[in-house]
Amino acid sequence: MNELRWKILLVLAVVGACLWGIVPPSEKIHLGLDLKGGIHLVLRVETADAVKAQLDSQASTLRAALQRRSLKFERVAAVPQDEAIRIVGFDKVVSDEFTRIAGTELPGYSVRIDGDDLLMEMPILEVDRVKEAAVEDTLERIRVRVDAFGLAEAAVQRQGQASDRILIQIPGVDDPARVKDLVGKPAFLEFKKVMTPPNGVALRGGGESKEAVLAMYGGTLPPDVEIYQGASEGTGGRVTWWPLSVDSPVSGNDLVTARTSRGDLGSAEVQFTLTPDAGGRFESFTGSNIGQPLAALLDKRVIQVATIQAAIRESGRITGISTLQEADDLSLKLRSGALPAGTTVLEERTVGPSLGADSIRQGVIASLAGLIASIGFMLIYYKGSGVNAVVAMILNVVLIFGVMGYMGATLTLPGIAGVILTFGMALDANVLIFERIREELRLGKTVRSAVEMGFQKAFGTILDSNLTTVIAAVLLFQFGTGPIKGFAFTLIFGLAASMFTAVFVSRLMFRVLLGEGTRVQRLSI
Amino acid sequence: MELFRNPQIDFMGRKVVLTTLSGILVVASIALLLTKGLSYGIDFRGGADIVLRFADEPSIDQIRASLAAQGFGGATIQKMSESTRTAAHDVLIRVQPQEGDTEAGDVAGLVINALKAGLAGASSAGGSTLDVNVAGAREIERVILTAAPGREEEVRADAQAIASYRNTHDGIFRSVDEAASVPGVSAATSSWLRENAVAGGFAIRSADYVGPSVGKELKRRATYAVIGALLAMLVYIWFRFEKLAFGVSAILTLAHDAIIALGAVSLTGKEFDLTVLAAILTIIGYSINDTIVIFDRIRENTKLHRGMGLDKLFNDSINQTLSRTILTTALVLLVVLTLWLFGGERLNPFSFTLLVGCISGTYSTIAVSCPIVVWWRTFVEKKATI
Repeated sequence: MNELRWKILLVLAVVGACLWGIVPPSEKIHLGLDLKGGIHLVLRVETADAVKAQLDSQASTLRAALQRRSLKFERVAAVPQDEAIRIVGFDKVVSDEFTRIAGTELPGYSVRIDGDDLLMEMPILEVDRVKEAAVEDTLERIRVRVDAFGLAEAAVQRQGQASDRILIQIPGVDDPARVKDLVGKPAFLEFKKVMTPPNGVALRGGGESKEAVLAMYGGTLPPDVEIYQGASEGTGGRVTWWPLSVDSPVSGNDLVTARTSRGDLGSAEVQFTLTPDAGGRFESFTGSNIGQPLAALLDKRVIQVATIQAAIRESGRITGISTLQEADDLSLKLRSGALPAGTTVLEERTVGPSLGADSIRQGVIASLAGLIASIGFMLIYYKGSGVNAVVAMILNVVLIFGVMGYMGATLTLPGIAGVILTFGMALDANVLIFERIREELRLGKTVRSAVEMGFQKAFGTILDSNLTTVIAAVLLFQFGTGPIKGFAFTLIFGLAASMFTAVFVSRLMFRVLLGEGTRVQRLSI
Repeated sequence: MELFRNPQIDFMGRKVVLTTLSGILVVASIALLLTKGLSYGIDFRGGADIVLRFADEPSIDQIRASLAAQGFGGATIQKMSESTRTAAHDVLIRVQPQEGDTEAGDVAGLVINALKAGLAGASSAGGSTLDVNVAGAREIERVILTAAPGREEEVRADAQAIASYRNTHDGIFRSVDEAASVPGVSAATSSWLRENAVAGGFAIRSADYVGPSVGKELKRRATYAVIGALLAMLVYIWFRFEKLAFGVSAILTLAHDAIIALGAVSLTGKEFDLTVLAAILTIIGYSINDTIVIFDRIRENTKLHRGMGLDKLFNDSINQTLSRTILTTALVLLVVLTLWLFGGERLNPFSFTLLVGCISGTYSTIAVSCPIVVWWRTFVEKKATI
């Protein structure tokens, strides 16, 4: 009797602990995005962009250093595909001088002569470091944006250790397109001078096409000019093209703050403030270009062209934004800092809130129906002993959810299906035992020994048969994505819990019911 | 209640008939898979699937035109089977994956924006106004508070009430008036909504995009998972029963079940997606479970009756466990059936596959596993007993 008491206490303790893990369900059981509604987004950080940006900036440092020493060369260009910088048409007579300056300006780079050019390759460890930093910075800034947007429940994490993928999960979706814009767009702000073509006619409205602008330059651009696309005005509107300076006096990295404001006509604007250092550069640049057009670019697209009226120092504003919401989003992105590289959506799963609500409703109905059907079945077929199985099954459900609560696992729609499936599969253990008990009774054994033999003989089979299903579920868990993992999880723990409930708890219940000492004549089975 | 008391069915005497029936089903399934094939779901196919819910019956031509204007002329647009619970209309827009390996990026977002712009008047084209069909609770709260500061607690409660009413009532408002008249919403919020908000013509039900690299990766991992599961089962059975005959028969049985389940998926034209794959793996686990119960009994009976003929041994073992087999199968079928009936559209292919697999998994133990062990012992290993 003493042993029995300890076992009962153990069962009660387990049940209590599991209930503690479940109650209150709204706090302890986390619903997956497929039930709550939300966005699951996998972005790839275009790390090559960050390498290119690094090469570009080092190329311009090198160019300035060479110019200071009045060395002759055609141009200095970054060659992103080779992760290198190339000095085209350098003065071979003083090649030693070139090599020396390249060595000091670009420490660690391997410098070699390649035909008529001088080629400097970025060290491979430096490439890796830049890429790694790009992913980490992107991660960090997406987190800042998501927080600032008031999406506190969002999870932003790296997918795998050294991967360039970022997984973003945001429950309770608002407008998915807007959220994607917010987390995925680099929001790199630059200011560039609008260049005047050699024919001397300033391009007030921008060019019709890239070719048209190129034609104004006679087919080849001078080294200090690049052509950029303008944002289209409205849908189906005209796309403009602009010849702009390669250098930008200030960029988004020089911003101190940005905020939304209303313009004179109530239109939306973003006001920004520059660092004192950048303010100085901007003042001298705008001061010497009064009357000239200046372009503001966001992510390499021209968003605004305006004529410089007076020298601008630390604060300026971006106008021409169509809605207040866009202005809000832009200032938020600018405040968080530009992402060091562009991102590409690799995978998106958006579940609208109404679909999530429907799924919860269907899941609850299906679970109740499954539960009632299997309880009815067991009670009709096994009568009194069926009660025993039903108690074990309900306990099983409590155990699954208890474990989920403690492990912080999320309940998904396939996860609910897994729970429903365990109603059937976990009962297999009870069926195996009960059928064995019936066999033993038929052989003329006493009730108590038939029960003992039934449990003993069925145990091996139960272990074997559950293990195989668990093996399949573990493989599924290993390979699966979010919702499927939820299914594998509930199936694994459902079957594991059934080993405990059907074998241990159910046996205990029989022993308590049958009592000890007295001879039991009949068993309701 | 007891349905089977001491059954004496001569299964092994009819093993040729049983196995032939299985063989025909397998061949038919393979033929189906080779000719009709599987219609892959978005997980493996890639591309974008967007389901929008319209309040009023939408014009497919208008949707097509809006999409074509933004370069999605190749998209297929299809009305979804009317849900019995709601009067709303769901439309599936499917954009096929791009050729080659290039990542297309935010296809779902582009499609939704194209529709917003194209179905003028149907939605907030400019995006400046609050669209009560697209905005979530937090968005509604923020827009109202930005425009009309103050009453923070009240606006938060109102926004939540509106969003949750929408989500449980068809998922879409037919007019702003409907949103403003949600029970419990304060008068101030109500009148603000009537003046400033719009009810766009559609709400986003779901949007999925799977890029080519992810699709390929999922396919690869799916193949590994299935092969891994089969190998794990082979090894487990071989170890546990110490005879190759059992392992070989278990693997053939599992292949039988998986092929028939896939054949049924192909026949009914259901989409083969990740959940169907999960069902196939579950079937593999379940079918072997059923096989093991009988194999265990065979092993037990071998010890009790040394030298018993194979057919008799197998017949006795099947009959002794028949009651359990039928009961468990009935139970599992019962719950899978409830899942199929009540689990909703998203779980339909999953529960259908399980339904077929459970029946096939039970049948195959008797019609495939046992005959193969008998034949393997008789003809390959030339033994008359286990």
